[in-house]
Parts: sequence; structure tokens; C-alpha cells
Amino acid sequence: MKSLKDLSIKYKVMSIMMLVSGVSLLLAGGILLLVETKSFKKRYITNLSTISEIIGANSTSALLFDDKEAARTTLSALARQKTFTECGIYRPDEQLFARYVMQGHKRELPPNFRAPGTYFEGGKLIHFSSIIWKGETMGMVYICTDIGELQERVKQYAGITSTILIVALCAAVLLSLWLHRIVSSPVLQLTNVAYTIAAEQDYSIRVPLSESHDELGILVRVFNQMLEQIQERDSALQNARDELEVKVEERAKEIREMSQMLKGIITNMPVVAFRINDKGEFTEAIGKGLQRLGLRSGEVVDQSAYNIYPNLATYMDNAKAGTMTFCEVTGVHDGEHWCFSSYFFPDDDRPGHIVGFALDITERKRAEGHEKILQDQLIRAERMRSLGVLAGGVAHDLNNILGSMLMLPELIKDDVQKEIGEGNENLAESMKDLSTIESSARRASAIIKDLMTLGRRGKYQKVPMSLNVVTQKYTKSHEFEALKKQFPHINITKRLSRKISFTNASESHFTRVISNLVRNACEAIPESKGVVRMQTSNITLKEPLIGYETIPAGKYVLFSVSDNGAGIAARHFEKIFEPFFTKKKITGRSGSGLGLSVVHGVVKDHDGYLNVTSVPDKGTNFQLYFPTTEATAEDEKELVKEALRGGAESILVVDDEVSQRQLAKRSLETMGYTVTTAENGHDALEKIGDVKNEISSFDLVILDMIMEDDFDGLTTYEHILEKCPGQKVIIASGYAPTRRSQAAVDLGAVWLAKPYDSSELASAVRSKLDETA
Amino acid sequence: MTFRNTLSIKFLMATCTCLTIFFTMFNMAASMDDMLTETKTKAQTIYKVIQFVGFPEKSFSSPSQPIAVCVLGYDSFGKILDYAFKDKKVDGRALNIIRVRNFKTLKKITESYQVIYITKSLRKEVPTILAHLMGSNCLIMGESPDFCQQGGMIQLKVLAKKARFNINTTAAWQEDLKISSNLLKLATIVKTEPLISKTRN
Repeated sequence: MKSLKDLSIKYKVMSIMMLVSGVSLLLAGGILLLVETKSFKKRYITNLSTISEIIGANSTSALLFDDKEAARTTLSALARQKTFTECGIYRPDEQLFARYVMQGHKRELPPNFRAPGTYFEGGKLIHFSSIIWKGETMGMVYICTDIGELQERVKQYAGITSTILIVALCAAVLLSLWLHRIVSSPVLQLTNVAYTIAAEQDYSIRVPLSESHDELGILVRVFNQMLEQIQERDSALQNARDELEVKVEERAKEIREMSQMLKGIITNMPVVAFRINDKGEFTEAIGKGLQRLGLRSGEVVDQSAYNIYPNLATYMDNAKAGTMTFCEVTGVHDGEHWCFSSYFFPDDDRPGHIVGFALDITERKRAEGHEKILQDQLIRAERMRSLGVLAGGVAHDLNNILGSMLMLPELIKDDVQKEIGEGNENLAESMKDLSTIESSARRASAIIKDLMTLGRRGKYQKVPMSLNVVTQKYTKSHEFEALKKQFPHINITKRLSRKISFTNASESHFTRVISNLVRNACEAIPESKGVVRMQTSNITLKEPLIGYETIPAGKYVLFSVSDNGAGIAARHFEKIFEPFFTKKKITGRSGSGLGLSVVHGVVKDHDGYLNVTSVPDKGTNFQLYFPTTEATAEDEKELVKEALRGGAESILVVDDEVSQRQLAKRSLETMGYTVTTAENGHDALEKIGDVKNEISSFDLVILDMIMEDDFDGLTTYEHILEKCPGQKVIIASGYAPTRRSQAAVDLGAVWLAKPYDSSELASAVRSKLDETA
Repeated sequence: MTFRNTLSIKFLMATCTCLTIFFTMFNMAASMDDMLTETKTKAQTIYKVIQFVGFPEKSFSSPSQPIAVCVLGYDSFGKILDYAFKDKKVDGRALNIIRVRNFKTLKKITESYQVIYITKSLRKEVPTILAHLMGSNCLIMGESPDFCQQGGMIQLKVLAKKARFNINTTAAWQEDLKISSNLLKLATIVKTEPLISKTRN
């Protein structure tokens, strides 16, 4: 039920009015009823007393003369009044003298005698009075009356009062309904306006001004004034709030951005951010770095940092004491080492608490280790390059010497063979000696070629080719057959991928790589049955492969040679590609220490990568990764075909070495070309002679780069170009490329490394001749 | 008849005689007692009646003048009336009893009296006496039959040991006596023709 204070003022006013009216009426009615009842009682008593006196007076003579009949006659007059139920006259000795009992009323006389007076007893009014006559008590009158009339009268009054009350209340309700507006209407208006303002926050609303000058009128005016003040203040406040909101929004944006940045950092960076309370327990631990530790976000919360990382207790204590501390923490999870750089800061807001972060530096540490490896590799490569340059310098001179040693035995053998054919049998033994010379020269040439390869690094003529083709050529070569004869106990197999990708490579160099690797593998197998396997395949690395060296992600052609030989000892692993490093002295050819160095150099010159795995007494696997190219198998066939194709063009060979000059002349003539030789640059210019229309009579000039000091290949080339600007030139050199040779290439010449074989020469010549101007 | 029988008859006769004598004596005593009671009742009634009668002022010379009660005729009251009036006062006035044996004596009495009670012994002279007393403003009471019819004011009688009376209101009115209604309602009212005409105030 609603209490009065919760009611609307309209109903409050009405209620108060009705309450006041009701209470007033009730009080008035009650008082009236009381007064009337009292008055009635008094009258009743007075009347009763009077009646009693009359009866007494009228009964005096009867008493005096003992005439009961007369007394009864007197009492019988009471029958006319229905209120008197009993009446009795008593003698002074309290003996009943005469009595009256209302008809139908139960006789109750005599009552207990009492002193004269009126008494209410048992719903009756009893009156005793003495009968005194001439100063003498003659007797006593007892009269009893029913107060039903009194009760009836009280009921009647109560009814009237109730009726008046109800009517008055109804009137009060009606009046209050009409009159409450005087008070409640302004208040309700005020309330409605207050509600509207509170709901809509619109302080421009005003309460309609009342004409009254009472307190309500004053209240309305003051309320409106207050609204005006609030409106002004609200407007100012709104402006200030708008400005503040803008600032807050800007600040919030900054905080959001900062938060996102921090979140991004913590989420993506290998960091662990943490909080430690004054009890030393983690209260928060988040960050991507937790993965490294094998922990989930929040897993260590409520656990003691001192228990988990007891070795950090000193740092944490220092941080608690207010000093920022730093340390590197290492550990192992799932067999992987981790390293975190941890920082502990005192929490300024909460004394004894620590905030901090730990930066995962595991990768950096690894990278530092890897960098050291790379540095070692670089140092090793530089060392190898230096050695190669040195070897190349020596090899050039030897190569020139060996050129004649390689070519002359063949020429002599042709002549000797003719002599034997003509019947000179004595020369048969010479024929064997020539073969020995030739064989030794070839072995020397091979070593020199290795040295030259090392010294000529990076200047190969590389064309798209299939390693399968090269491998197959090798397996059909005289060298491979000789190798199998040399190592009959070894089963040399090949497993070539059908759809191998192409790679830009120099065939001759790659053939040397295969040869070196296979020979190296065979020599690693002791005197027992062994297996050497050559294998090609396409491979795509999605992630860098960390092996002997780090191989970047990408598409590669993989060539591998594996054996089940003695393997490589760990202590030698770092040095196997160094020139002249060898532990094998099995054959006469072995032990030069250049085989794997050449492999390394060639691979690097082909932008390839090396990986070596070896288990002692189990074997070794060399894996060479070459980047693929877009060429197709058709291109390969064409290239091979062109390489072997000759021509009828006119070629001028310029070389200060007679043997080299003759060798080139013979080879080219064999291919169908018309060859003219010149012993130096001046001779070459004479041979070219006068030209017509700046076109010489030679389609191609092959120039040795290193000739007379003051007239080398480049100088000759420049003079030729003066005469014949469109002259096609091949620069041949047994040295590593120099600035001068590079200048010749820049002028349009093609580089041809010496020593070259027939196919290399044919390929270079054909390629240059077919080149459009 | 045997001696014993003779003795029994004698005894029986003696007993009857004794009983007769006893009862006779008893009746006589009862009769005496009744008479005494009646006399006493009458004496008291006279006193009571006087209390209900208002005398005119001229009946008394002074406020303290006693009320003179004259018993005219044979005084059967004796001392009973004295006992009845002893120490009694009516409206502050004492009661004096005057006993007058006959009418002649009454005529000779010069002193005034307010109440005259005429006993039965003078019943034949009542009209004469009443005529004589006319205008005396005395309350005239009597006990003879038809007393009121003869012009007397109040006739006393005792019935069943209780006093009853007749009142001749005309006679009382003629003598300017005011008889209380309380008394009147107990009495048997007798009205006679007024002996003299009187204007009622």
C-alpha cells in the first residue's frame, strides 16, 4: 500500500482534506454524542429522580396510613411509561411496602439496598430516594428503568453522526476535487515540467507563470529563474563537456592506438609482459613469448615467481627495492634452448610490486651463432678465392705448356700411325709412349683445369640446361667408363627425375662437378662393395634450409651424390672444401685436394648452394642446389645441336702461343671453317688489311687476351674496331678476368676461357657468328 | 355406670368447663386487645390526619401556639392519646389535649381549640354540636356512623386494624381548612350540601 508521502500531491491534498474533515466530524460527532448522551443521562436521571420524588411524595400518606393499595395505585401510574420496569416503596425498616413491575418484566425485587442516588447496573438505571415527610423519613423509593432508550438514542445519534460524516466526506471529496487545483495544479505543473526536464534534459522549458502571489507563485517564478540559471550553466557545461569529450576522444584514440600498438607488440613480438605482486606471485603474464616457454597466457598467474625462476630472486628483490634490473634468462623447452632478456621495474603505484617484460632473444642468439658461421664461411670463401687466384696464376703458365703437350701427341700419333700403316713397326713402342704422354698430359690438364676453374670463378658461359642431360653425357663418357674400371667393386647408379627443371649452367663445369663428386665418393669407399648414387630432382624450399650453409627458400634443381663410404670426420667437416685439403691417398690422381674446392667454386658461381651430411662409417651425401630457370627441353636440344654445329665462315685466330694457335686452327677447320692465323696483334691487323665499307674479310676474329705487353688482345680489338666497327670478336684468356678483358667484353667481344675444348670453342664461335649485329 | 365411668364423665365435664372458661377468657382477652389496638390506631390516626390539614392563620394567635385537640364525649382513648401525642409536633406546634365530657361543657369553654374529636358517646348530638361549631375553623372529627353525612369533616374507622376514614370536603371547605390531597386520596370523599354559602377564593 502506498504511504501518504508517496501519493500524488493531488491525492495528498484530497486525502488531507478528507482526513481533516473526517477527523473533525468524527470528533464533533463523538463529542456531540458524548454531550448528548451525558445530557440525556442527566435528564434521564433528573426525570427519574423527579418521578421518584413524586412517587415518594404521593406515597407519604399511604405509608403513613399503611395503605398499600393507595401506594400501588400511585405506582401503577408508571405503567404509562414503558421505560420503568420496576418500582418499589419500602418502609424505613427496608420492608417492601408496595411494588410495581412492568408487564412482561421479570420480577427482580427487592434489590440490594443502596444509599440514595442513581446507579447504572446491568444495562439498567437504578434510582434510590428517601421519602421524607415533614423532616421524617417515611421510607424509600426504588425505581428501575431500562436504558434501552438511552442506547437507542445513542445508536440514533451514532447513525446521524455517521450519515453526517459520510455526507460530509462526500462533500469534502467533491470540494477537494474542485479545490485541490488551487494548490496541486501549480505543483503538478511544476512536477511535470521537472519530469520533462529530467527526461529530455531540456532546460529551455518553463513552468507557465501563475497569477497568484502566494508561496506557489513565488516557487514557480523562482523555479523558472533557477531553470534559466541552469540553462546558462548547462550550456556552458555542455560547451566545456564537448571540448572535454573532444579531448577525451583524442586522448582515448591515442590510448587506443597506443594500446593497439602495445597489444600488437605484445601479441606479435616475442615478448612476455608480466606483473608480480608483493608476495612474489605472478598476477599477469601475457605475450607471444610465452609460446617459447611452452606456457599459455595467464598459466603462471598466482604461482610464485621465486619458485618458477629461483635464479632471478636477486633481480626481483632489487626491483622490489626500487631498482630497475636486467638479466638474461636461459632455459630449455621441448629440447629447444631459449633465451630471454628480462627487465624488472618497481611498480610506482604499488610498492613491493614488480612490472616487467622479457624479450625473446633466442633467434637473435641463434642468428649471432649463424652469423659467426657465415663469417667463417666468408672467410673460408675468401681464402679459397685467394688460393684459387694463386692457383689460377700458376695454372695459366702450365696450361700454355700443357696445350702443346695435349695436342702434339695427337698430331704425332697421327703421323706415327701413318708410319706404322706404311710398315714401320718400330714405331709401335713409340705409339705407347705417346699415349702415356698424352694420358699424363690429360691428368695434368685436369689438375690445371681445376686450378683454372678456381682461378676463373664466376666467368662461365652459362646457358639453360638440364642436369639430367649433363649427367647422362657424363655416364657415357670415357672418363666415367675409366672410373668404373678403376673401382669395379663400386656400384655407381643414377636416379634422374623425369621432369627436371632447367638451370643456367656451364656444361663443362658442371660435368667437372659431377666427375669430382663421383670420384670423391668412390675414393671414400674402402676396399669393399659400395654404392655411389647420383640423383636429380626438383625441390621447392618453403623455408630456408639450414644445413652446411643456409639455403634460402625457392625453387631448386637438386643434384646429389651419396655413398656408403667412410664418411667425413666432424673435425674435418669445415675444411673439406678448402683447396689442397685431402685425407685420401688411394690413387695417384687423388690427393690433389682440389676436387671439392672446384665443386664448391662452381656451385657458388652458379648461384647455387651446398649441403653436406655425413655419418662416419655410414657414408656421405653431397647435395647441390641450383636455381631453376624457365627454359624448356626444346631449348636444351637446340643448344646441344648448335653447340656441335660448325660453319663455312672465315675466322682469324690470333694467339702468340703457336700450339694454341695451331690447335684452334685445326679444330675450327675440322668443323668446316676457313681459318687464318696471326701470331700477334700487329700480324692480325695486317691480315685484316684494308677493308671495304668497314667490313673485313673475316667473319670472326678470335683474340688471345694476353699477348705482347703493349699490344694485347684489347688493343688489337680496338684497332680492329677502328677499321671494322662491326667486327665480331671472341676474347680468349687463361687468366681470370681483368679490367682490360672486361673492357673487351664491354666493347662487344665474347669471353672464352682457356683452355677450351672443341665443343666449347664450337659453341662460342657459333654463338657469336649467329649473333645479329 | 361404674365409678370409673363417673370419674371420667366428671373429668370430661371439668375439662370442658375449663376449656370453655379458657376460651371465654381468651376471647375476652382478644377482644380487649382488639379494642386497645383500635383505640391506639385511632389515636395515631388523629395525629396523622392533623398533619395533613392546613389550618387558616386565624386559627392560631401565634406561630408557636400549640394545636389544641379537644376530645368531646366519653374518652375511650385514655392515656393512649397522650402517649400518641407525646413529644409530637405538627408544623412546629405542640399538641395539647382537652377532654370535654359533654356539649354543655363545650359551650362553656372559651379558650380556642383547633381539633375536635367527637366520640361515639355523643353520636346523637352530632348535628347539634356541628351546628354549634360552624365557623369555628376547627377540624371536626368523629367516629360515629354517618358522621360526614351529618356534616362532620372526618369520620375515623378502623378496618382490619387499619385506619380508614371518610372526609367531607364541603365541611372542610366551609371551615377554611385545607386537607392534603395525599389524605384525600386515602379517604372516602363525602360531599354534602354546604350549610352556609361561601365564596371560594
